[in-house]
Amino acid sequence: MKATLAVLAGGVALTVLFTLIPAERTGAPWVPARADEVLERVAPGSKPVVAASADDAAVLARQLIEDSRARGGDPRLLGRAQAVLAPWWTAADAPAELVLMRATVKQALHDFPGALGDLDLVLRTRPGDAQAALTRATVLTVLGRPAEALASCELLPREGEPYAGCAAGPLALSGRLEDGLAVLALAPQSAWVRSLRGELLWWKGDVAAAEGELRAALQLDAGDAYTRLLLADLLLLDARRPGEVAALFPGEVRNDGELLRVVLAGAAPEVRADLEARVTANRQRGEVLHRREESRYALAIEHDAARALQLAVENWGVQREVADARVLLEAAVAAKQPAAAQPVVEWLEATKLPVPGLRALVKELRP
Amino acid sequence: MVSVLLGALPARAHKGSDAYWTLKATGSHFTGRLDVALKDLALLLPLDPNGDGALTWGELSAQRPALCTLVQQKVSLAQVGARCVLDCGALQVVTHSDGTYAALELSGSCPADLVTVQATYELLFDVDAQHRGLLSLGAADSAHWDAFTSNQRTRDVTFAAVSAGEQAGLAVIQGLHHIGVGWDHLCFLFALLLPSVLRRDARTWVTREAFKPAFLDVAKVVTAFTVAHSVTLALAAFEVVHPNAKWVEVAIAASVALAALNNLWPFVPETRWSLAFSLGLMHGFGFVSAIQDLGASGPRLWLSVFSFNVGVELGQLLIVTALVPLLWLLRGRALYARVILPLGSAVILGVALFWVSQRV
Repeated sequence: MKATLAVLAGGVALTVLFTLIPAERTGAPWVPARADEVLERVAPGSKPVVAASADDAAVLARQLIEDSRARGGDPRLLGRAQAVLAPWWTAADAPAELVLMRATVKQALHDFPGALGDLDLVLRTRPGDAQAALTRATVLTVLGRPAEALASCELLPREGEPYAGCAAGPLALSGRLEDGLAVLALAPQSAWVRSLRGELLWWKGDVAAAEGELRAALQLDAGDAYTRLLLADLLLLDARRPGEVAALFPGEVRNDGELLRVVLAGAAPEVRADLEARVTANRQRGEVLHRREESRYALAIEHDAARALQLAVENWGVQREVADARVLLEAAVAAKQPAAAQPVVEWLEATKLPVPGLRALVKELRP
Repeated sequence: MVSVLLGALPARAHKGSDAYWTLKATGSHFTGRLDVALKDLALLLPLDPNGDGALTWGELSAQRPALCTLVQQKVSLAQVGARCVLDCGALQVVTHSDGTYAALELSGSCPADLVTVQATYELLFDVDAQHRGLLSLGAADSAHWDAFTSNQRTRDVTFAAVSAGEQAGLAVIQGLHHIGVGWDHLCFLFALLLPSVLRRDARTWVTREAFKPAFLDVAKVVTAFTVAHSVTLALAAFEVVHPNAKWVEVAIAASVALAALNNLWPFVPETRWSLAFSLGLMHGFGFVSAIQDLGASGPRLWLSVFSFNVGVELGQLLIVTALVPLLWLLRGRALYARVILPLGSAVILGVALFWVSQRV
């Protein structure tokens, strides 16, 4: 009898003690144990900003856009910029500075026709506006209309960095790659110019020289996130040295694009799981801004060629940069659907770009 | 100097702002939860009074009343124009892929049973035009989310109605399934039942002559196990306690090892049912994740817990009625006391110790 009671009491006691072991955090909510436990870090002095006037709004929006860029393209800050501009979102008679900020936000949200409309408005009131001209050229380049982009660049003074930076890409995409390189050679050799030269050399097929230029650009401006991503893609796709990609993005907090390259280069399971969680969250949100990256993810990591192709085709419908062409070609090859890549093949012929990597993929399309 | 890189702005870095909203309906009542990112909430409420950029639990919980008022203003359900009552419950914290969120429990009722309602969500659009409110009407991690955006703040949403009968049936099947594939629970039972057709005489095992004592032994062991795991399952399912899932698995494996060990070196000689009870307590905690997968909550949780338990006991009964007659038939052979019992127990002991090493 005593033994029985002892066993029963022992079991109950152990179980009660067991419940004192704290549960680990799953996706379930919890109550923090201490009032001073830090849950999240924000910029000090975060509060909503309400613009009193259109001019104030333009200033606030510019600040938010620059902050977004400094953080590698934070969509929350873009959303806030849009909210600040909201009362004047469709106003055709808003101040030029505000319309310019509107155009920049629209461009970031991939509303390219909307951005062009606003930029045309700005250029009507401020014909020589350098930023409007440059942004307009960028949008037209993304849309695959290099001749019109060049016309926009002509609004800038010929000497100097802005013209070179503006015209190099469109020149290359109009079948005048050497002219693009020549224009860059004449400009001051800033980080931006060297990064562009790296990109053009990559398109030319000179991978080693391209890498040299991209690395030089990063030496001049270590914060240039765009160049860093370019270099990562070069190492992954053409230099075939994925082992060096992780070193480009040290540290734990990486934005989605950086995380994708790190995982494509080969990463630990926890890192892959982090990327998967972000991709899932974006899908739940119904986000459509990242189709190029999603296509790469679908192909390389989910091994879903059909989905990758669908995303790549949708992406090509919105933007036509060399990276978009590559993603569509790779998906078409993997899904064995050469017809889907026909628009890219035609585009490649029109631009006369050598890009050996792309040409090789085109060959693979026709067995 | 022209800020040239403004032209090449990538909008593909972090995730845009989302809030996650779940709802479940039972008749005309509903329960749910709204998760809002602290990064976003800091724009609506003074979450950082000392301005140091570090949002603490104290700073957040101080804003619970203001948060509740805000949610009641910006989030609502209506049936044919008649607004439903929405109350705020506990405030907790939860982690999503892009940071820490405030998790506010919601509950309320509508004039009539909830089938299709008009849901309105307007939080944050005035400060972040790209914010989305994502509503799910199923279990917390279901795949389908309805998105509320700045341009679409009201939507008709339909609750998938599950009758009490369907809910109970699903839970019974889940319980049956869980015990059927739960090798650790099954091995625990095997270990406890193997000696039921024998009895201890001095220091040896002797075959039982009559069936009745064996039957009583089995009944006591099974009943003790059932009572024990039912109690702990209920405690965990109703969140009276929150056992650590990983260590629960370790403890269950250890309980199997101890049950098997008792057959080889009986440290609880007579009343194995007390061992079945004491060690069986941990098994109830192990069933809780299966209950959570059923996604029940609120007033109908008791139905899921009860039905799940019924399923487990049914499964147990099936196994026992298949096993015990077999043991009874075998008990007489010399092999049973000298080989089957010790060898079987040793195998279970070995497997259980292996599980312990795997699960730690």
